[in-house]
Amino acid sequence: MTMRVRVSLYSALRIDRFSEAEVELPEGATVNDLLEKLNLPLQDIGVVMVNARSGTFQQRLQPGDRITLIPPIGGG
Amino acid sequence: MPFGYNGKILHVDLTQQKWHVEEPGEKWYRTYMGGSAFASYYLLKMLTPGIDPLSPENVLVFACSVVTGAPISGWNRYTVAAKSPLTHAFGESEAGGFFGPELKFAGFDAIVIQGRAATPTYLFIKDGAVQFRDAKDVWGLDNFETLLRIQAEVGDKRVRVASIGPAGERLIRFANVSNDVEHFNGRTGMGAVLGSKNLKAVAVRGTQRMASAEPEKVKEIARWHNARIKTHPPNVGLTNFGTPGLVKGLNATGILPTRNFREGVFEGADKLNADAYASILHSSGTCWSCAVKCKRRVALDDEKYPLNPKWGGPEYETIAAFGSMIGNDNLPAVGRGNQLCNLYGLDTVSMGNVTAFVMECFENGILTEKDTGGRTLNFGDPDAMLWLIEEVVQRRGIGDILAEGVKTAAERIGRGSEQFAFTIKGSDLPFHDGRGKTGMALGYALSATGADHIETPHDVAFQGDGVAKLHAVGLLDPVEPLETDMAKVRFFALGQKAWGINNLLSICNFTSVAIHAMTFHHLVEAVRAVTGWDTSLYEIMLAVERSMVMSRIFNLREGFGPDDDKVIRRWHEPMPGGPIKGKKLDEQEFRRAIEVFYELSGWDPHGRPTFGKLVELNLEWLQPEMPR
Repeated sequence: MTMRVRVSLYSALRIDRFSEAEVELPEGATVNDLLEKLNLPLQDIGVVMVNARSGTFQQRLQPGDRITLIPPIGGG
Repeated sequence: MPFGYNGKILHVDLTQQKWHVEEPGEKWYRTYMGGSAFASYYLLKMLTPGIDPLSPENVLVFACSVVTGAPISGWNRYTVAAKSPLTHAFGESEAGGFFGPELKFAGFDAIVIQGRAATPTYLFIKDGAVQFRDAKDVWGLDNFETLLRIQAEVGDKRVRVASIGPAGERLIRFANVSNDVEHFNGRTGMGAVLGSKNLKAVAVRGTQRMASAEPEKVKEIARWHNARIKTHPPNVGLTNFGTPGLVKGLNATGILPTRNFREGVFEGADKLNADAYASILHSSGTCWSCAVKCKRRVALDDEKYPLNPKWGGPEYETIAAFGSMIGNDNLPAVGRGNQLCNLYGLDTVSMGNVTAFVMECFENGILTEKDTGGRTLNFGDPDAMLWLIEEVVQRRGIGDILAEGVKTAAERIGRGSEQFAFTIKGSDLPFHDGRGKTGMALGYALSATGADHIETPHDVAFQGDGVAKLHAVGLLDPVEPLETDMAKVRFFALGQKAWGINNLLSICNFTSVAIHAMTFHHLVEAVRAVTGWDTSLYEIMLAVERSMVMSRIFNLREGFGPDDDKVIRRWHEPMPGGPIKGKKLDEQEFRRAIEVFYELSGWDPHGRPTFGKLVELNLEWLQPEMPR
C-alpha cells in the first residue's frame, strides 16, 4: 500500500528538484524515508514542518500530510 | 529571598581598587531582566556621552540574567558591554561556555567596572568576595597560557577565566574576550576596553547553586527540552555537524559571502563544509548544562597548519571569514587562523573582514608591495591571511593601521580604498548576505551594535509553513527572504522582539526560540518556574523592547541617527551570479522599510523614541538624555 503526501521545498533544496509536489511513499513511511526518496542527506535539512507543526525525522507520515523542508542557512 | 538571581550587582573601581555591592531590588530585576538591558542601564547611568572608549571613563559590564545558571540547555550565556572602541556606539557581545553560570554561583548577577588600574591587574571573584590581583606575570601571555597561569595562581582548576590576549593589551579595536579559549565575546572590541583598563582577566569561582522557585518544574522542563533537542531537526543538525553545517546550504542558495561580499557562491565551498570538516575534527565540545554539544574541537599534526584541540575549532563565521571571504579553500589554514586569533584574542569576524578588505585593495592596485614591505596579499592565499594576523597583533607595518578596524584603516589609507571598506555604524559585517535575507539586512541596519547577525531571526527558516514557528508572537504570513515589503517589516519587528528574548535572558539561540527546540510556551513556563514571577511572553517581549530602546538612546546620545541605519553599498548592487543573480536591495524600498519600522516602533522620523514610547516602557528617566 502506498500513500501520497504534499511536499514543499525551499531555497537550495529546490535546485534540480521542485518547489511543490505530491510524493508517493509506502504507508507508514517516516520523514527519513521521504528524505531518502528525494535523495536529501540529513546535513541538507534545517527545518522540518509537518502540517505546519515542527516535525522530526522519525515522524510517521499520514496520507495527505503537508511537509515543508528548509535547509540550515541561519546565523552561526 | 529572590529566586533565579542573587539580587547583587558587583561594582568595581579599578582606579581606587575598591568594590561594593549594590542590591537594586526585585522591581529593577523584573524591569530589566538581564544581559543587554542590565548593560544598557549602567552605561546610560554612568557613562558620559562623547568619551573616548579606551579612556578610564568607559564603563565595562559583565552581565548574566535572572535565569542564567538554571540547568536548562543554553541558559548559560553572558554579555560583555561597554562603549565600543570599534564603533564608538553601544558595544555588546555575548558568549556561552561556563563563565556566566559560575559568576552567578559566585554570588553576583553582573559586574560593573569603572576606572583604570595603575598596573596590570586581574580580578578574582569567589563566593561573594573580590580580590584585585597583580597581573604582571600574565600580561603578554596568550589566552591559553593566561588560563593555565591564573588557574595555578589561585590554586583551583575549576576557576572560570574571561581574559584578553596580546590583542586586547595592545588596544586592537576588534580584540575579544575569551573564556576557556573556546567561547568568545567576539564582537565590538570589548577586549580592547579590558586592555585600556589594564584588566587582563576576570576569574570567577562559585560553590553555591542558584535557587529556583519551583526546582522540580525546572527539572521537568529541562528533561523535556533535552529530549526534544535529540529529535528536533535544527538541533540534530547542530549536534551532528556544528555550525560548519551552514556552509553547504548558504553556498547552494547563493548567499555565502565570498571575496569581500562581492559574490555569493564560492567555488571552493565543498572543501570548507561539514563533510570536509571531518578531516580536522577532534571532538565535540559544549557549554554549561547543554545537550546540543555544537562546539567543535580540531586537531591536525601538520607542520604548516598544526591544530591543537585545546585552542578551539572554527565555527561557521570563521570558516567564512578565513575561507570564502578571502577566496581560500584550505580548511586547515582556516583552523590555524582561527587558533591564532583565539590565542591572541582577536575577533575572527573582524579579522576576516580586514583581510578581505586588504586583498580587494591589493587586487585593485590601491595597496601594493610598497605598503606591505614586499608581501603580496592576494585573494586565495591563506598564508597572506596568517601573515596579516601576525602583523595586526604586533601592530607592525600596515598591521598597525588595520588594528584600528576596516573603517578607520580605509580613512587613513585613502586612495579610494573606502569603496571596499564595508561597515555599518563602524562595525564590519558577520557573514550573511542581506540580498538573500532582507529581514536580516534590516537587523544589520538597525542594530545598536552595528552589523549584527544575532539581531533578528534569519528569514529563510520562516518560509512557507516554517512561519508557524513565529505564530505565537502573532506572525502569520510566510516570509519571503528576497522581499523588502511591508510584510517583511512586520516580520522584522516581531521577529526582533522574539529573537531578542535570548540576548535579554542570556540564552543561546541554538537551543531556543524561534527555530530550535525550546518553544515560547515552555520558555515562559521555565522563567516562571525559575523566578517565581507570574510573568508572560508579553512582559518578557516588553523588556526586550525596553532593552532595544535603551541601546538606541545610548547611540542617539553619541550622535548616531537615521543616516547610520543603513547597509553596505554592495547590497544595493545586483548579485553578480549564482542562484540569486541580479538580486539587490532597492535603496528606496529599503529606506521606506526603515521609516515604517520607526513609525510602528513609536519612534519619530529622526529615529528617536517618542515620549509616549518611553512612558510605555517605564523609561521616562531617559527623556532628558534624548538629543533635541
